[in-house]
Amino acid sequence: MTKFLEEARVITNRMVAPGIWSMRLTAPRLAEAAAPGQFVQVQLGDSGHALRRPISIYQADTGRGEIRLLYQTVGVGTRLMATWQADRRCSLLGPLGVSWPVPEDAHRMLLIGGGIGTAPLAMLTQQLKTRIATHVTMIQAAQTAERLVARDFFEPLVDTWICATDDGSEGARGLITGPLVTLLESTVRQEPAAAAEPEQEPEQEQEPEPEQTPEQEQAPAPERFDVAYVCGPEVMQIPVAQLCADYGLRCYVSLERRMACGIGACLGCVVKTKSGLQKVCQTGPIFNAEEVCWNDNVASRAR
Amino acid sequence: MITLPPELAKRYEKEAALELEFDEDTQSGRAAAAGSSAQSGPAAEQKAPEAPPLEVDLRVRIGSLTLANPITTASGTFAAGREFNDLIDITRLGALTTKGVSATAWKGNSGRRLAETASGVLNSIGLQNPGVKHFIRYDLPWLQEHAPDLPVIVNVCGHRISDYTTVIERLEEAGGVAAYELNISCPNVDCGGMAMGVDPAAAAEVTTACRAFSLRPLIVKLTPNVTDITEVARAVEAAGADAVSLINTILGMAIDARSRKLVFKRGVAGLSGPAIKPVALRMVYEVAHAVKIPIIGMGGVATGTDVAEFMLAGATAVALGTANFDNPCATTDALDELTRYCQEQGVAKVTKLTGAVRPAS
Repeated sequence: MTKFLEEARVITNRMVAPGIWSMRLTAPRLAEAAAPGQFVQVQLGDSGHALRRPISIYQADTGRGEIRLLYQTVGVGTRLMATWQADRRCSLLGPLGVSWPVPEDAHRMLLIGGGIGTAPLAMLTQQLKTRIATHVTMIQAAQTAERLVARDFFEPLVDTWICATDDGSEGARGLITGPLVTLLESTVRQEPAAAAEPEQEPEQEQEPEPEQTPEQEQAPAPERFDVAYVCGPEVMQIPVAQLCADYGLRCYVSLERRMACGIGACLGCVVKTKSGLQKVCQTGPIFNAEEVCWNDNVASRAR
Repeated sequence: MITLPPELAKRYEKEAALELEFDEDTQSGRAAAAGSSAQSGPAAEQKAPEAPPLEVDLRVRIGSLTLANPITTASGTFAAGREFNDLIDITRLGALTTKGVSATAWKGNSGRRLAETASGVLNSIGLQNPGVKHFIRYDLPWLQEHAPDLPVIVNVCGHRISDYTTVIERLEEAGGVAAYELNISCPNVDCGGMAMGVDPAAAAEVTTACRAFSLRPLIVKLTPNVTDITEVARAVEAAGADAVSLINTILGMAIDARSRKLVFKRGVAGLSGPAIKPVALRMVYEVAHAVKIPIIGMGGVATGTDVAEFMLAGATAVALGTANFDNPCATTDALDELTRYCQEQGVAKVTKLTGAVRPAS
């Protein structure tokens, strides 16, 4: 896919949850070209900022020639973006990176999104819903119920929607790994391949595995999932990737790194993988979770 | 000193003769300043009040190499051009300067590699590159196919002198390279890199060694992280460098107050971008007054006006680096703007700008 620069115009830019913003822009070429999981480099257009900001494409509306970005105000760049008013023009570079792989023989899909990480799963969900005999389950997690990003989009669209919040204000209380284990267990008749002990996280305590209810144990196990698609903070991705590996579930993750060029030239965003250092902007942002050397990478992650 | 093969020696003589010719033709810029010679030459004859825009001769010379215009890329910001090819017409560049190429593959630095700063970027990439064999197999053929006439300046890096000469030896065998830029100024590697560039004797030594392996223009890239950059510039000139390029990044640091940790594993990182432009401009000016060889100026260059400023300070050619990240078309945009600038200023030959800055009034 060829990348290009497009002069976009802001239509609306509003806060949809604490610290989380939704920006609609007219960008007909990008709307046409964008594939699920890809991102754009947003020029801040301010001489004080030497770098663009990589933001995933949340939605693309080819009919209206619009794209939508969901972003969290985490630093000076995104805070500046949050001040943009309607009609502001900005240069977008994209579409960048690879899209989510959708294997032809896969029909039972599991989407796992944490916080703002649900944004790059939206176009994928739309794509999956156009496929025949495809069942989509989503587990969405956030700090609080109001931060369940784009819940209104996902919940009606997917076949099964499960959520977890840190404070228990909606769904299961605690980390996403709780409901994930329950779900994975329910699809397995026999013992899982190995002890489903997720890797220890440095900062957060692991939620103990929720006990299964007798009903679940007696009911016939649903079919196993074919693929898991994961995006969210790395502290969530690591145990999720581990769980998927333990249950033999093919897992794709979308990674995030600080970037300069966004097109593979500067080598600022590399991650260690089993096939050497790979550029998140070009080989990624989507990787097969089994390929990622998580232990080497988590230390290099800026918190 | 290694004796040159007769074939190379012959070519060198031919190129040296060409150089003389060119010097007489256009290279009087720095000495003549903004003098009357600006009106000479065929292009200037077209200058008339009602005439179409002035046709500007944008050609510049770096040693024996003629560039179609003074614009090039700063090493490490443009890879070997491929990534930018669907965004700009890379054949419009005066030259393409590649990312650092080493004798064997380098992994670069672990940990975080980037931090944006006020009007700048700190990087700690550490010269990650797949090595000269990969460059010859993968990048050179691509460049020859997509930009056969574009002069390619290969940035050469190493831990020790033999690494530099190995890279040059391999590339001389392969062909397709127009000039070499010796990277003795990268602040992001422990061994080689800047360690050689801060010591005039070591800088001269690596220059002499590389000189023996090629007759193509040898450009030495200087670090600003010294007390007196002119000392190193003079040393490499005396050792046979055809040109110097400056500045590499300025040594910086970032600290995360919340975690109370250094942001980069090596602590230090290299600062680039608009923030360093005034420092770069000053150093180009200083070096222009210290050496006779041409200067490729760089450091925070983002626009055609910036290019003109660096040329006025004494640069013959100018590289854009960090600007490519914010605007992938920065180089070609700067070329268009430089052309307009020359037309507006009545500069028929861009070389007339070199060193033509006048004192403040």
